[in-house]
Amino acid sequence: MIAFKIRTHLILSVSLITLLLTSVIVSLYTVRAKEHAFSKLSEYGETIAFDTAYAVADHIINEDYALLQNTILKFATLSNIDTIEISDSDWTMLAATDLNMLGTIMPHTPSGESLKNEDHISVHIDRQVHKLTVTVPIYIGDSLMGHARIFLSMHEILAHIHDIQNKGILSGIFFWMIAVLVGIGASRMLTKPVSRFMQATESISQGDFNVTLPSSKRIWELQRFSSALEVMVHAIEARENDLIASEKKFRHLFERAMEGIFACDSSGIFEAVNPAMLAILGYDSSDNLLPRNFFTDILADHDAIAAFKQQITQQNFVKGYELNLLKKDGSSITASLSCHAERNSEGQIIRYEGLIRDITQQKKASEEIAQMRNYLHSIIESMPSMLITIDKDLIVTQWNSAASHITGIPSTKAIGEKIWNIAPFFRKYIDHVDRISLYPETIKLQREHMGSDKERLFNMTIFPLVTNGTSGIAIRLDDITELETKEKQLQQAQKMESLGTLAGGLAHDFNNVLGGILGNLSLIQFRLDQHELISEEELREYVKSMSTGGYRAADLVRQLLTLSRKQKIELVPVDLNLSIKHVRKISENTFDRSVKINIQMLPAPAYCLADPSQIEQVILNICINAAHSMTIMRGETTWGGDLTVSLKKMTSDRIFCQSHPDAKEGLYWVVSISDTGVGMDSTVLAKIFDPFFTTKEKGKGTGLGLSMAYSIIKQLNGFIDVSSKKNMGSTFNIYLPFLERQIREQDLLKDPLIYPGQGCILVVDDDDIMLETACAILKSAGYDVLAARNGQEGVDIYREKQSSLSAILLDLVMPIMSGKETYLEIKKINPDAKVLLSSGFRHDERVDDVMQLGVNGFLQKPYTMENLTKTMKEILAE
Amino acid sequence: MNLRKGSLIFGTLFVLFFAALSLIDQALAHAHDYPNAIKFSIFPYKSPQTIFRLFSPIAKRIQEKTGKKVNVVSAPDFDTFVERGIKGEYDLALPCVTCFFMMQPAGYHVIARGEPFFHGGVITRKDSGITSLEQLKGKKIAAIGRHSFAGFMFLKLPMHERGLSTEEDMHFHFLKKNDSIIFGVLNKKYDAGVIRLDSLNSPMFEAIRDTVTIINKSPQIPQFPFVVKDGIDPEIISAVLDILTGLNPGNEEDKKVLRSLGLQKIVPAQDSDYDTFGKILKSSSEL
Repeated sequence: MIAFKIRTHLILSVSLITLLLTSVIVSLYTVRAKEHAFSKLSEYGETIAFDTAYAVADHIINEDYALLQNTILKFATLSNIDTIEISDSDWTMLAATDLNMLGTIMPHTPSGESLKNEDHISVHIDRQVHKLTVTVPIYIGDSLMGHARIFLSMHEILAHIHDIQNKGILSGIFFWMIAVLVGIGASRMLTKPVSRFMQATESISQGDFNVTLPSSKRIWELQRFSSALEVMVHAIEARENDLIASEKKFRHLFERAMEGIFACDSSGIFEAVNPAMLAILGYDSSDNLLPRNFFTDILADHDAIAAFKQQITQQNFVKGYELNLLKKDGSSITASLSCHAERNSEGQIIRYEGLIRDITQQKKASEEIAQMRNYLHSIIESMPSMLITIDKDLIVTQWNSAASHITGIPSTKAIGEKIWNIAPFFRKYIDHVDRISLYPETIKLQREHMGSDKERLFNMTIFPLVTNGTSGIAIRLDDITELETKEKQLQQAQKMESLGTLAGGLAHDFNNVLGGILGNLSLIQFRLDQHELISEEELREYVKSMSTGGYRAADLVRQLLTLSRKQKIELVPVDLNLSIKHVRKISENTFDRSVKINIQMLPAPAYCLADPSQIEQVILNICINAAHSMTIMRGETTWGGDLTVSLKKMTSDRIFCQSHPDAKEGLYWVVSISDTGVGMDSTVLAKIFDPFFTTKEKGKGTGLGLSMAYSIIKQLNGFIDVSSKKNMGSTFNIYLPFLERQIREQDLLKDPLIYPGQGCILVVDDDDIMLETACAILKSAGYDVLAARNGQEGVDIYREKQSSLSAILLDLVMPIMSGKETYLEIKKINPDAKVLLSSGFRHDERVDDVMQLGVNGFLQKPYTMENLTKTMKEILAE
Repeated sequence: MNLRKGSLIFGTLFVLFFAALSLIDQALAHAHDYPNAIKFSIFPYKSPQTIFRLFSPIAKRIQEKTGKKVNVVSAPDFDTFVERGIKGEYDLALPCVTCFFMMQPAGYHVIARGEPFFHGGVITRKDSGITSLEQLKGKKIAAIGRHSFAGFMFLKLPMHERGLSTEEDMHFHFLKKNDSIIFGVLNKKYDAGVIRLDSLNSPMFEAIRDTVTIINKSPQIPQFPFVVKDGIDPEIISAVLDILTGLNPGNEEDKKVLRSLGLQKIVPAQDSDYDTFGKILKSSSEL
């Protein structure tokens, strides 16, 4: 198709439209004008005809033909009237402008085409002679008087129409010329900016984005086009810049990539390689590598080539394809190949584009990692501790052999399961797990039982586990059953050592007490033998003195039992005031008199969570060491000094924690034990908590005391701080976590001395004094009492009187039949029998052994009236 | 010289033109004469078309009865009517009484006449203050025509008796039509009018009838006579007479025809029926 300029298009279009419009308008106007003119001429003719008919009617009636002729001649002078003819009703011409027509017969139908033919009018047009004929009848009433016929000339109209046509054509030519001029102007207006736009776009296409874009202020579309073009130019420029930057970036990427990037044709001849590719394959220049063939020169294994080609043909790509490549020097490397095949429209491969990574070192490292992993796995599997790891959803991810062995659950069953599902006892540690999830820290729990197995003890460590970005929790359980047993044995041994140390002093005191009691008794005996009357007042003095001695003796015995007992460790709220008080008593009774003991207790209870026996042992051990440092460790020099035991409360803050790594922020009780003994140098000080380390003479210390103290306090989440100076003395600060405990109101109230009760109580004790004392106390409380001096007697009485007996007070250690055997017999008689066990032993294994059989309560001897009646009332109330 | 020659040529052309018109008129007049047609000419006492409409029903009846075409014609004026009558152009005619006496010598005689008699009279506006003929002196008076008895001539005698001359003491304007005269008086164009008084009975003047006063009334005047020309077939005359006298006022259609003519009935008549009136007319004409 031939392309024309805009100017040509515009001029041709405008000319065509103008001429077409002019032709149509002129034609339509001419036709309409002609029709209109004919119509108007016809109407005009009709009007003239009717007027003529009306005007001549009188003349016809009056037969005034001269006037008739005169009348039509007047009408004939009107414009466009060519001829007028009047006939009578028989069509005989009465008057006519053409006098030759007078007397002739008027044709009924004029020549020409009929335009209208109605009763009272007919119109005919004769286009050949350009005449319009209007014929009307002359009626008066319903009588036909004649006919009037008007001939109208159309020449004037035709001339007028012809004139219109000529003017229309002239106007058309005029408009066409104007249109051509407008077209030329418009084309110039368009082509100029278009040319400028073309020049601008050519500049833009050549990369010149700084070109000034033409602005056509008069043409809105071009103005918009200019704005759009400007936006487009900026967009193209930005895109071009981005493209250049991107190309540069990818070029850099290509050039600097650590992986080898290449492209080769379908036969394998290299087309492009990056420097990394050259480096991987050991080439200096791409000129050396480009002529080579990837498949035949680089790939070492021909079997791999076949497999590679098969895979890429099927999938169109390979990813991480591992193969061996030949370097320039002939050596081989292991590489990972990712390659994409490009195909033409017929589906044939025309090009390969690939990425090669030298994985020789990586593979080696992977093998080493695998070996390390296996090694670590072996360690985890071989470790005696249970090691369990769980993820954030508490799903087991690690379950080592020890865990499988101890729990009996294989790792295959455990891994992937929620830990509660396979080990329900873990549910009680959910608070710890939640806490670690929120605050990553290590939680250590001591002496934990695993499920219902109460025989075995575990130390549990729960710590956060962060590996490979995934969080989880690791749980380590160490079976310390055996260690605990050994430690207990060790503690017991150390106790015995302490006991041995204290025995001399205790024996001395005990002798003094016994001496006092026996002295009073012998005095009473003597005066009775002399039949001397002893006044009640004197007697009370003797009894009081003996009673004091007896209580003191009982106190000494209880202290010894406390030290020597073997019992289950039970953490209970312990008032450190009482512990210090107990130790003070022992110390005062056993330490050399040269040691001055100062005690500074707090007025209010100072509770911590601990085993009272252990706490007293720790304080006593340190006090013994202090006493020794001021006595036996001084050798021949003067013995003596001050032993100060004090108690205070302190707040551990961040600064304190920094200087005391074992401390945590919070409240602590501090038991300070200071002496003015020989003190220690730093070398000794560093070893004092080591087991079996002692500076005492052989046979005077095992080196276990401080070690044990350290261990005990550590288990209670406390710590010991020591400061000492040679020949200046030492200070041991024992820090124990503060236990918030409300003091029960009833503890503050003065308990009644006796708790009254009802019912009959059977008292079974082989000790007559204790038997009588117990019976007297119970009677005083309102009970009826039956007494039995051994277990067999007690069983017999119970069998006989069981219906009337409310409870039994049973001594544990008795000849003939022990308290346990007696209890079992009584239970055979009545399984619901209520039994209160009594013993001189403290609450240890022997007591526990019987308690587990179902004894209702335990009361340690010597008991008071208050203790006995209160405990008995509680049992009966159950 | 040139002016004289031009005037001569113009005058010649003018004469020739009117001569030509006269010839045309003659030619057409003869061309209009049909041997089998009856020419029924009516005195132009009304407009030609009114006359045509009034007498077309009777003409149709005559045409139907005689089988001859009846052309109802009139004339532009009294003189032409009389002149044509005298020339014997009418077969059947309804001339005015005066015309009859003028045409009678040409061989016309009466065959019927309408009833009742009618009167001429002088009318004035009631608000004009003119209540007697004497007051007409010097006034503008509209009348039908100089030869009209009811419309002018009868007034000569009472005026004469009062010592007034219709020719000298007042200014007459002859309007030919009763309608024109009545409207001329009402519009104060004329001080008085001389008309056929029965024309006031037309419904057209019903509303203004009370606004005029009749100050003088003529003697009883017979209706126009229906005359035939001598030589007309007696059967035609008999047929015409039958039709005219056969108009029955009891018949609705006939009554309508009679009313349109202003007659109550048409009765047979003879020339002698107009002798008395002829004498009165003659007396008036001589004044």
